[in-house]
Amino acid sequence: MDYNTIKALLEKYFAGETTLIEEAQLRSYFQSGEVHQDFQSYRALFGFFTQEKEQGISPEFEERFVPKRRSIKRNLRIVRVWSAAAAVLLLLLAGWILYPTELPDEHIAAKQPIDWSQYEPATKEEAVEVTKGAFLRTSKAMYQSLNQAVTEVESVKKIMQWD
Amino acid sequence: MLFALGLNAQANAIDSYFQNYVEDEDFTVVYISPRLFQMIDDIGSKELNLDDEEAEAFVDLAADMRGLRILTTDRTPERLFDEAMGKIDTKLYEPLITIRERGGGRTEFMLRENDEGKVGELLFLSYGDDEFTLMSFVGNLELDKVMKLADEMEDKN
Repeated sequence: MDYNTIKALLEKYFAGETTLIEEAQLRSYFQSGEVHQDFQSYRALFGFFTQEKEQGISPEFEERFVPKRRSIKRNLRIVRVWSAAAAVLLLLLAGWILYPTELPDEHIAAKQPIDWSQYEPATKEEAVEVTKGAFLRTSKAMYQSLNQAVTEVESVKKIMQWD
Repeated sequence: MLFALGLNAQANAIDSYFQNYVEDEDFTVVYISPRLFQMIDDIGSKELNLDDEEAEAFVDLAADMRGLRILTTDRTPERLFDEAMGKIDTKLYEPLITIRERGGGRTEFMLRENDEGKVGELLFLSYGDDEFTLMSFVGNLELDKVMKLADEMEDKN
Protein backbone atom coordinates (compact mmCIF):
# COMPACT_ATOMS: atom_id res chain seq x y z
CA MET A 1 0.00 0.00 0.00
CA ASP A 2 1.23 3.48 -0.76
CA TYR A 3 2.05 6.20 1.72
CA ASN A 4 -1.14 8.24 1.21
CA THR A 5 -3.44 5.25 1.61
CA ILE A 6 -1.79 4.29 4.92
CA LYS A 7 -1.95 7.86 6.12
CA ALA A 8 -5.64 8.10 5.25
CA LEU A 9 -6.34 4.77 6.96
CA LEU A 10 -4.48 5.85 10.10
CA GLU A 11 -6.45 9.09 10.23
CA LYS A 12 -9.67 7.13 9.88
CA TYR A 13 -8.47 4.64 12.52
CA PHE A 14 -7.82 7.33 15.12
CA ALA A 15 -11.12 8.98 14.21
CA GLY A 16 -12.73 5.62 14.96
CA GLU A 17 -14.12 5.35 11.45
CA THR A 18 -12.22 2.36 10.03
CA THR A 19 -13.96 -0.82 8.99
CA LEU A 20 -12.76 -4.27 10.11
CA ILE A 21 -11.27 -4.80 6.67
CA GLU A 22 -9.35 -1.52 6.86
CA GLU A 23 -8.03 -2.41 10.32
CA ALA A 24 -6.87 -5.74 8.97
CA GLN A 25 -5.12 -3.90 6.15
CA LEU A 26 -3.34 -1.72 8.69
CA ARG A 27 -2.24 -4.71 10.77
CA SER A 28 -1.03 -6.43 7.64
CA TYR A 29 0.92 -3.37 6.64
CA PHE A 30 2.62 -2.98 10.01
CA GLN A 31 3.58 -6.67 10.10
CA SER A 32 5.04 -6.59 6.60
CA GLY A 33 8.42 -5.17 7.64
CA GLU A 34 8.23 -2.42 5.01
CA VAL A 35 6.83 0.30 7.20
CA HIS A 36 7.58 3.87 6.16
CA GLN A 37 9.69 5.72 8.69
CA ASP A 38 6.93 8.30 9.25
CA PHE A 39 4.72 5.52 10.57
CA GLN A 40 7.30 3.63 12.63
CA SER A 41 5.86 5.01 15.86
CA TYR A 42 2.54 3.26 15.16
CA ARG A 43 4.22 -0.09 14.54
CA ALA A 44 4.26 -1.02 18.21
CA LEU A 45 0.56 -0.28 18.47
CA PHE A 46 -0.46 -2.65 15.71
CA GLY A 47 2.25 -5.13 16.64
CA PHE A 48 0.88 -5.24 20.21
CA PHE A 49 -2.61 -6.16 19.00
CA THR A 50 -1.17 -8.92 16.90
CA GLN A 51 1.03 -10.26 19.72
CA GLU A 52 -1.85 -10.17 22.14
CA LYS A 53 -3.93 -12.21 19.71
CA GLU A 54 -1.17 -14.78 19.38
CA GLN A 55 -0.29 -14.88 23.05
CA GLY A 56 -3.24 -16.94 24.20
CA ILE A 57 -3.95 -18.07 27.76
CA SER A 58 -1.24 -19.09 30.20
CA PRO A 59 -1.33 -22.73 31.45
CA GLU A 60 -1.87 -21.51 35.01
CA PHE A 61 -4.80 -19.33 34.01
CA GLU A 62 -6.24 -22.16 31.94
CA GLU A 63 -5.88 -24.61 34.85
CA ARG A 64 -7.65 -22.33 37.30
CA PHE A 65 -10.35 -20.68 35.27
CA VAL A 66 -11.04 -22.62 32.07
CA PRO A 67 -12.77 -25.58 33.81
CA LYS A 68 -15.01 -23.09 35.62
CA ARG A 69 -15.76 -21.33 32.38
CA ARG A 70 -16.55 -24.66 30.71
CA SER A 71 -18.79 -25.61 33.60
CA ILE A 72 -20.67 -22.33 33.32
CA LYS A 73 -20.93 -22.83 29.56
CA ARG A 74 -22.26 -26.37 30.07
CA ASN A 75 -24.78 -25.17 32.62
CA LEU A 76 -25.91 -22.44 30.27
CA ARG A 77 -26.27 -24.99 27.49
CA ILE A 78 -28.39 -27.27 29.72
CA VAL A 79 -30.58 -24.32 30.71
CA ARG A 80 -31.00 -23.39 27.04
CA VAL A 81 -31.90 -27.00 26.06
CA TRP A 82 -34.43 -27.32 28.89
CA SER A 83 -35.88 -23.93 28.09
CA ALA A 84 -36.31 -24.95 24.46
CA ALA A 85 -37.92 -28.26 25.49
CA ALA A 86 -40.26 -26.46 27.88
CA ALA A 87 -41.20 -24.00 25.15
CA VAL A 88 -41.93 -26.84 22.70
CA LEU A 89 -44.04 -28.62 25.34
CA LEU A 90 -45.97 -25.45 26.06
CA LEU A 91 -46.60 -24.95 22.35
CA LEU A 92 -47.79 -28.54 21.95
CA LEU A 93 -50.02 -28.23 24.99
CA ALA A 94 -51.48 -24.98 23.70
CA GLY A 95 -52.01 -26.56 20.27
CA TRP A 96 -53.67 -29.60 21.82
CA ILE A 97 -56.01 -27.42 23.88
CA LEU A 98 -56.87 -25.08 21.02
CA TYR A 99 -56.98 -27.64 18.23
CA PRO A 100 -57.61 -31.11 19.72
CA THR A 101 -56.66 -33.74 17.12
CA GLU A 102 -59.28 -36.28 16.16
CA LEU A 103 -58.56 -39.84 17.19
CA PRO A 104 -58.69 -42.55 14.52
CA ASP A 105 -62.19 -43.92 13.91
CA GLU A 106 -61.40 -47.24 15.56
CA HIS A 107 -60.50 -45.56 18.86
CA ILE A 108 -63.62 -43.44 18.88
CA ALA A 109 -65.67 -46.46 18.03
CA ALA A 110 -64.03 -48.44 20.80
CA LYS A 111 -65.28 -45.91 23.33
CA GLN A 112 -68.77 -45.57 21.90
CA PRO A 113 -70.88 -48.70 22.07
CA ILE A 114 -72.71 -49.58 18.87
CA ASP A 115 -76.41 -48.82 18.89
CA TRP A 116 -77.46 -52.21 17.59
CA SER A 117 -81.17 -51.45 17.78
CA GLN A 118 -80.93 -49.52 14.51
CA TYR A 119 -79.92 -52.71 12.69
CA GLU A 120 -82.86 -54.84 13.84
CA PRO A 121 -85.14 -56.14 11.07
CA ALA A 122 -88.30 -54.11 10.62
CA THR A 123 -90.68 -57.03 10.95
CA LYS A 124 -90.90 -60.26 12.90
CA GLU A 125 -91.07 -62.25 9.65
CA GLU A 126 -87.88 -60.68 8.40
CA ALA A 127 -86.17 -61.47 11.72
CA VAL A 128 -87.24 -65.10 11.41
CA GLU A 129 -85.96 -65.34 7.84
CA VAL A 130 -82.61 -63.78 8.74
CA THR A 131 -82.18 -66.08 11.74
CA LYS A 132 -83.17 -69.13 9.74
CA GLY A 133 -80.71 -68.20 7.03
CA ALA A 134 -77.91 -67.68 9.54
CA PHE A 135 -78.61 -70.92 11.41
CA LEU A 136 -78.90 -72.95 8.25
CA ARG A 137 -75.75 -71.55 6.72
CA THR A 138 -73.82 -72.21 9.92
CA SER A 139 -75.18 -75.65 10.59
CA LYS A 140 -74.74 -76.69 6.96
CA ALA A 141 -71.09 -75.59 6.92
CA MET A 142 -70.46 -77.44 10.19
CA TYR A 143 -72.25 -80.52 8.98
CA GLN A 144 -70.33 -80.63 5.70
CA SER A 145 -66.98 -80.07 7.35
CA LEU A 146 -67.58 -82.79 9.92
CA ASN A 147 -68.81 -85.15 7.23
CA GLN A 148 -65.69 -84.40 5.27
CA ALA A 149 -63.58 -85.05 8.35
CA VAL A 150 -65.32 -88.40 8.89
CA THR A 151 -64.74 -89.33 5.23
CA GLU A 152 -61.06 -88.42 5.56
CA VAL A 153 -60.71 -90.56 8.70
CA GLU A 154 -62.43 -93.46 6.94
CA SER A 155 -60.09 -93.21 3.96
CA VAL A 156 -57.07 -93.09 6.28
CA LYS A 157 -58.37 -96.18 8.05
CA LYS A 158 -58.69 -97.99 4.71
CA ILE A 159 -55.16 -97.00 3.74
CA MET A 160 -53.86 -98.27 7.06
CA GLN A 161 -55.64 -101.61 6.50
CA TRP A 162 -54.17 -101.98 3.03
CA ASP A 163 -50.73 -101.50 4.46
CA MET B 1 -57.79 -74.35 26.59
CA LEU B 2 -59.94 -71.24 26.33
CA PHE B 3 -59.54 -68.25 28.58
CA ALA B 4 -62.52 -67.28 30.69
CA LEU B 5 -63.71 -63.78 29.96
CA GLY B 6 -64.34 -61.09 32.47
CA LEU B 7 -66.68 -59.46 29.98
CA ASN B 8 -70.40 -59.27 30.20
CA ALA B 9 -72.77 -61.47 28.26
CA GLN B 10 -73.13 -58.87 25.50
CA ALA B 11 -69.40 -58.95 24.65
CA ASN B 12 -68.89 -60.04 21.07
CA ALA B 13 -66.20 -59.96 18.44
CA ILE B 14 -67.96 -57.35 16.30
CA ASP B 15 -68.11 -54.80 19.13
CA SER B 16 -64.52 -55.63 20.05
CA TYR B 17 -62.83 -55.67 16.66
CA PHE B 18 -65.17 -54.68 13.84
CA GLN B 19 -66.87 -51.45 14.79
CA ASN B 20 -65.48 -49.75 11.71
CA TYR B 21 -67.16 -52.38 9.50
CA VAL B 22 -70.52 -51.61 11.13
CA GLU B 23 -70.12 -47.94 10.26
CA ASP B 24 -69.03 -48.77 6.69
CA GLU B 25 -71.89 -48.22 4.27
CA ASP B 26 -70.66 -50.99 1.99
CA PHE B 27 -71.64 -53.49 4.68
CA THR B 28 -75.12 -54.84 5.28
CA VAL B 29 -75.62 -55.06 9.03
CA VAL B 30 -78.33 -57.04 10.78
CA TYR B 31 -78.91 -57.56 14.47
CA ILE B 32 -81.31 -60.02 16.05
CA SER B 33 -81.89 -59.03 19.65
CA PRO B 34 -82.83 -61.30 22.58
CA ARG B 35 -86.38 -59.91 22.29
CA LEU B 36 -86.62 -61.15 18.70
CA PHE B 37 -85.25 -64.54 19.69
CA GLN B 38 -87.94 -64.71 22.34
CA MET B 39 -90.51 -64.04 19.63
CA ILE B 40 -89.12 -66.89 17.54
CA ASP B 41 -89.49 -69.13 20.56
CA ASP B 42 -93.17 -68.19 20.68
CA ILE B 43 -93.81 -68.74 16.96
CA GLY B 44 -95.24 -72.05 15.87
CA SER B 45 -93.66 -74.37 13.31
CA LYS B 46 -96.23 -73.37 10.69
CA GLU B 47 -95.22 -69.75 10.81
CA LEU B 48 -91.55 -70.73 10.68
CA ASN B 49 -92.24 -72.52 7.43
CA LEU B 50 -90.47 -75.61 8.68
CA ASP B 51 -91.76 -79.05 9.50
CA ASP B 52 -92.17 -80.03 13.13
CA GLU B 53 -88.77 -81.61 13.66
CA GLU B 54 -86.90 -78.85 11.90
CA ALA B 55 -88.87 -76.21 13.76
CA GLU B 56 -88.18 -77.93 17.06
CA ALA B 57 -84.43 -77.97 16.39
CA PHE B 58 -84.58 -74.38 15.21
CA VAL B 59 -86.52 -73.10 18.23
CA ASP B 60 -84.38 -75.13 20.58
CA LEU B 61 -81.27 -73.41 19.22
CA ALA B 62 -82.90 -69.97 19.19
CA ALA B 63 -83.93 -70.33 22.84
CA ASP B 64 -80.29 -70.26 23.89
CA MET B 65 -79.44 -67.22 21.80
CA ARG B 66 -78.86 -63.79 23.28
CA GLY B 67 -77.89 -61.99 20.10
CA LEU B 68 -77.00 -62.51 16.47
CA ARG B 69 -74.98 -59.97 14.55
CA ILE B 70 -74.40 -60.30 10.82
CA LEU B 71 -72.12 -58.24 8.58
CA THR B 72 -71.88 -58.88 4.85
CA THR B 73 -70.35 -57.11 1.91
CA ASP B 74 -69.42 -57.88 -1.67
CA ARG B 75 -66.42 -55.55 -1.53
CA THR B 76 -62.99 -57.24 -1.68
CA PRO B 77 -64.13 -60.40 0.16
CA GLU B 78 -60.74 -62.09 0.44
CA ARG B 79 -58.91 -59.00 1.65
CA LEU B 80 -61.57 -58.33 4.29
CA PHE B 81 -61.47 -61.93 5.43
CA ASP B 82 -57.70 -61.77 5.91
CA GLU B 83 -57.99 -58.44 7.67
CA ALA B 84 -60.71 -59.75 9.97
CA MET B 85 -58.70 -62.85 10.87
CA GLY B 86 -55.77 -60.62 11.74
CA LYS B 87 -57.87 -58.55 14.14
CA ILE B 88 -59.22 -61.40 16.25
CA ASP B 89 -57.43 -62.09 19.52
CA THR B 90 -56.61 -65.77 19.31
CA LYS B 91 -56.12 -65.90 23.08
CA LEU B 92 -59.85 -65.33 23.43
CA TYR B 93 -61.13 -67.10 20.33
CA GLU B 94 -60.31 -70.71 19.72
CA PRO B 95 -60.47 -71.98 16.14
CA LEU B 96 -63.08 -74.72 15.78
CA ILE B 97 -63.39 -75.49 12.08
CA THR B 98 -61.56 -74.30 8.98
CA ILE B 99 -63.06 -75.00 5.58
CA ARG B 100 -60.99 -74.16 2.54
CA GLU B 101 -62.88 -74.31 -0.75
CA ARG B 102 -61.13 -75.79 -3.76
CA GLY B 103 -62.12 -73.01 -6.11
CA GLY B 104 -61.12 -70.31 -3.61
CA GLY B 105 -62.88 -69.20 -0.49
CA ARG B 106 -62.60 -70.06 3.16
CA THR B 107 -64.79 -70.40 6.22
CA GLU B 108 -63.68 -70.22 9.84
CA PHE B 109 -65.60 -71.08 12.97
CA MET B 110 -64.21 -69.75 16.22
CA LEU B 111 -65.42 -70.14 19.79
CA ARG B 112 -65.19 -68.02 22.87
CA GLU B 113 -66.00 -69.32 26.32
CA ASN B 114 -68.15 -67.36 28.73
CA ASP B 115 -67.60 -66.99 32.48
CA GLU B 116 -69.33 -70.30 33.09
CA GLY B 117 -66.89 -72.14 30.85
CA LYS B 118 -69.56 -72.73 28.20
CA VAL B 119 -69.51 -71.57 24.60
CA GLY B 120 -70.51 -67.92 24.91
CA GLU B 121 -69.96 -66.92 21.30
CA LEU B 122 -69.70 -68.70 18.01
CA LEU B 123 -67.99 -66.62 15.39
CA PHE B 124 -68.42 -67.41 11.71
CA LEU B 125 -66.21 -65.80 9.09
CA SER B 126 -66.47 -66.69 5.45
CA TYR B 127 -65.56 -65.41 2.04
CA GLY B 128 -66.18 -66.60 -1.49
CA ASP B 129 -66.02 -65.04 -4.91
CA ASP B 130 -68.86 -62.64 -4.25
CA GLU B 131 -69.17 -62.06 -0.54
CA PHE B 132 -67.54 -61.68 2.81
CA THR B 133 -69.71 -62.66 5.80
CA LEU B 134 -69.12 -62.23 9.49
CA MET B 135 -71.64 -63.65 11.96
CA SER B 136 -71.46 -63.57 15.72
CA PHE B 137 -73.84 -65.81 17.69
CA VAL B 138 -73.93 -64.90 21.36
CA GLY B 139 -75.64 -66.92 24.07
CA ASN B 140 -75.21 -70.14 26.01
CA LEU B 141 -74.60 -72.17 22.92
CA GLU B 142 -74.59 -75.93 22.61
CA LEU B 143 -72.93 -77.12 19.45
CA ASP B 144 -74.88 -80.36 19.42
CA LYS B 145 -78.03 -78.26 18.90
CA VAL B 146 -76.42 -76.67 15.84
CA MET B 147 -75.58 -80.12 14.57
CA LYS B 148 -79.08 -81.37 15.29
CA LEU B 149 -80.57 -78.59 13.16
CA ALA B 150 -78.08 -79.37 10.38
CA ASP B 151 -79.04 -83.03 10.66
CA GLU B 152 -82.74 -82.27 10.34
CA MET B 153 -82.17 -80.01 7.35
CA GLU B 154 -79.94 -82.57 5.66
CA ASP B 155 -82.50 -85.33 6.14
CA LYS B 156 -85.11 -83.24 4.34
CA ASN B 157 -82.90 -82.40 1.34
